[in-house]
Amino acid sequence: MKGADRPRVFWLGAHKVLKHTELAHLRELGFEVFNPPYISPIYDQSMDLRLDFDQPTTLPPAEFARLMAHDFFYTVVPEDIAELLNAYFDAIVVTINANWLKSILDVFHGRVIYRIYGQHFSLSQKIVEIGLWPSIICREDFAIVPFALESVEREHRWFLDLCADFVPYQIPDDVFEYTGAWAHRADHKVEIATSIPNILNPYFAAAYADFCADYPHRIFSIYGPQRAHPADPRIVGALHRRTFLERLAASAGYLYNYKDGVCYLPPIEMMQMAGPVLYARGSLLARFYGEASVGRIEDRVDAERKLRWLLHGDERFIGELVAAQEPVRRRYDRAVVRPVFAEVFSRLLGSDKISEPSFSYSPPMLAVSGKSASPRRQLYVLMHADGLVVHQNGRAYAFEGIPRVVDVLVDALAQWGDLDVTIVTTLRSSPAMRDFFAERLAAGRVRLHVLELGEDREDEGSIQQRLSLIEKINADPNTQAVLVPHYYLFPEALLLNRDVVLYLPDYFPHLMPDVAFDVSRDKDRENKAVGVAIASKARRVLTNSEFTRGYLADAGFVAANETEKVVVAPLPLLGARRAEPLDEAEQRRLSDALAGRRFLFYPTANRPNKQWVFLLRLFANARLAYPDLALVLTGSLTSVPGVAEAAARWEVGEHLLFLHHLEEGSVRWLYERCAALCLTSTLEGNFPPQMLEAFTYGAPIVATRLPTITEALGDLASELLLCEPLQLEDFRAKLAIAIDDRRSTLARQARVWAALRARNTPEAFFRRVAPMFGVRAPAEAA
Amino acid sequence: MDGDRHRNEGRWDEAAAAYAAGLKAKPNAFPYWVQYGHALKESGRFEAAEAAYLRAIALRGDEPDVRLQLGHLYKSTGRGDRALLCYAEAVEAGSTDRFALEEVRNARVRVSEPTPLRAFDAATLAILRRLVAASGKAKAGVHSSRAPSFARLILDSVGPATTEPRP
Repeated sequence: MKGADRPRVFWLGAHKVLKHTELAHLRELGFEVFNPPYISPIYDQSMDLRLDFDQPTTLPPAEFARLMAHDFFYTVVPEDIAELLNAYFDAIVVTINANWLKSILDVFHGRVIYRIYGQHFSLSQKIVEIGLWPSIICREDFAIVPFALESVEREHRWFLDLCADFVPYQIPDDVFEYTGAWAHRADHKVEIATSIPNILNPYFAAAYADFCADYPHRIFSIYGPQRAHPADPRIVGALHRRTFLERLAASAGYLYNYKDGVCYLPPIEMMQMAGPVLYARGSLLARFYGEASVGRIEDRVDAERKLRWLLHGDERFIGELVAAQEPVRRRYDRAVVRPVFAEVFSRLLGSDKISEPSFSYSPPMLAVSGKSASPRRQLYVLMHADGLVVHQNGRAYAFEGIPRVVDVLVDALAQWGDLDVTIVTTLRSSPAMRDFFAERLAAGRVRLHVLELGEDREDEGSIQQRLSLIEKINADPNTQAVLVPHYYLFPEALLLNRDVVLYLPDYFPHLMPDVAFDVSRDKDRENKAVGVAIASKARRVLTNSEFTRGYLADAGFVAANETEKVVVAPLPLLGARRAEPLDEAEQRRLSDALAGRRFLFYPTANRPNKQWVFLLRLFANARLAYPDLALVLTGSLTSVPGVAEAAARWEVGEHLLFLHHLEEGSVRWLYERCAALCLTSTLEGNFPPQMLEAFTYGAPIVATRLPTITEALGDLASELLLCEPLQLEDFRAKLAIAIDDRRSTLARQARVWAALRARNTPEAFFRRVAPMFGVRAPAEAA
Repeated sequence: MDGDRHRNEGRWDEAAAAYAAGLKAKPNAFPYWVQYGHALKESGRFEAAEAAYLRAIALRGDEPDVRLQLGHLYKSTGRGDRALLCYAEAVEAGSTDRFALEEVRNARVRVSEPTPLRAFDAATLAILRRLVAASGKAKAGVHSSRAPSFARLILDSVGPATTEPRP
């Protein structure tokens, strides 16, 4: 049945190049490799359409014929074919396409290796969308083998954890006959080569449109097979392979204009010929060069200059360029690639087992494998609402206050407490939750309780699951407490019969009674009814300032004689350990967006209490003194009625820059460069977290004199540029001080921060909250 | 058969006896159990009627009408929460009975004393589940007024929420 003497491998690829490189190499290594035919009706210019009937095989003829007659690409594998795969193959190597991977993983029980070569989209996101997660993270004997770290650096962390090895891939053997061919020629045509195949395909159509916008010049020749030829004389279309390589060698140079996570092979083939290659900023090719930038196109002026040098045969420039290419060329050199490929694939295909499942998912519980049946006491945290934690640039981030506070709490419990945490999440959010709590999950201190809720959290199936959750928590003998982190998102918490802690950082409708905070005043009333009922049920209510504690009784959340159940724990700096340095692409994105302008910064959602109408008026006024000033916001103008109209009235729209879903590192980057944090809010439930960030990252602060600030700072408040609420002249004058005298402003802030820092540490926070969950505070633990 | 004739003439004791005789011959005859339940109910033997209906439900769980009848039985004997559960199950099984739909849609379950500190048991959760399911059907059914939100259903099931400061 399966390969008796040597493993029998099924290679799901059919790629023109790979068939002659990697597939052939596996056979050289002694594996029997089955190469299925590409008989799909879906056109793919890279696919080898020749049927490989003469391939070496020990499969019984009848089974071989059945496999050769089946279309394995973009299809579901039927039961009878699945039986053949499981009976006759030791392993399957799936290349490139996530849909192909799904079709195999759905039916094949043996070893699967997913071999990838770079893609222009997030492969991990695609895997989530097609429903392969969480089964893929629980799969044993499975590995992903990318060709370069740079090609997957924006993939999700769970994806990277499945990457066993990185194995480069080689350019085709026929190119090596042309090694140095460009350099050996004395004359080159007045032509720059580039490649855009199949421009009927939407991806390549976009690449073609992008190219035409950047480079209307007639000196280009656009290579690659086409299904149709538009009226562009620069499009050459498919050529015989030798003709193509010769024309490449005869051209003045090559331009690579793709700016995504793919690196196609023609520029590397040009490098093998010792020909000069220019490349777009932001391309994967550019990432391979690191700091070396001689061939990088910075902008259109730079492009004109460097293209002219190529066309004129500028020896100095071309010499530098080709010399800088050498490390990149070597990545694809068969002399370098083949030993690595042989070592890794011999090991992956030859060993008993290549991986254990890293996670176990026994619905609804997802935990690190082997640690799912934790007998320790559990804190359940209700987080089953989408959007609390999301992936951004491949990393998982929390943008709202609630998950960031939960993050600090989970960290503190893991560090100092003896309580484990069960995070309740939705299936859609679970990849991000998995990555967000990765370290704690790996340590077995956190597990995920996954609810497969619909888009509408109140449809019948979703509600059944939400009620089942309550039953499970009530029945779990290890349940120590339940943290309800939002006052109305989880009304089912009212059915809990365990200790409940409600996190209630603020209740603004009480302080701004004339404003609707939800879709209507009726909805506000219903929300409040839920919050009041949960607060009444809760054993403790957690908040972050005496100011908030002071009005919760008046607002009806606690009775006047039970305010002691409200615990005040000042927040530490949230997300600090997640503020990693930005990668080059993100830095470029932010720099390009700012275009060198000075800017004010206020990262917050647009809510009535944030007073954006006033902020925009202040900004318009400040621009009179600082005409280059921009304002960077992270919310939306339309969230609160009247704000968009204010932007139009003061004609500041074109000077507003909206950066949504910023990762922690990006937020830090912006603080470090902003002219000032401009905090116009008139109501905050706690010491504004933006001020903690500005203190830490060195941004001048201009803020409303809020009770939650003066409560924490006392006399030190006079060191800061605090303004009376909504007082334009006060804000304008202090903004001028922050901008014109940045150094002394920051020096005064540093004195305040030195005094404040100890109050707002994670340890101090945990010391206050630990007793609420029945765990010992750090000092006692020590 | 005799049972139907006695039933049509309003002679419920005789009808019950005739259906009981029929069930001896055909113990799994679903229509007999339903009619037997009706006859017992009309003759005032409520516990026996409940047992007959439950036997019928055990034979044909997908039949909404018998659940509806059991709901009426509970309703008329003062067991409102069980009635509501049956109405909800009837709607869930496809009943379009206006009375049942109305009962479900307007359901304000008072399953126990209205204190938010009460521990909820599995039966309460089961009732809530069926209410939610039925409320979805009612929303899409003949009644045009808006079904209560999940939050409202829970608030109602735990008692009135206090929005005023407590003394």
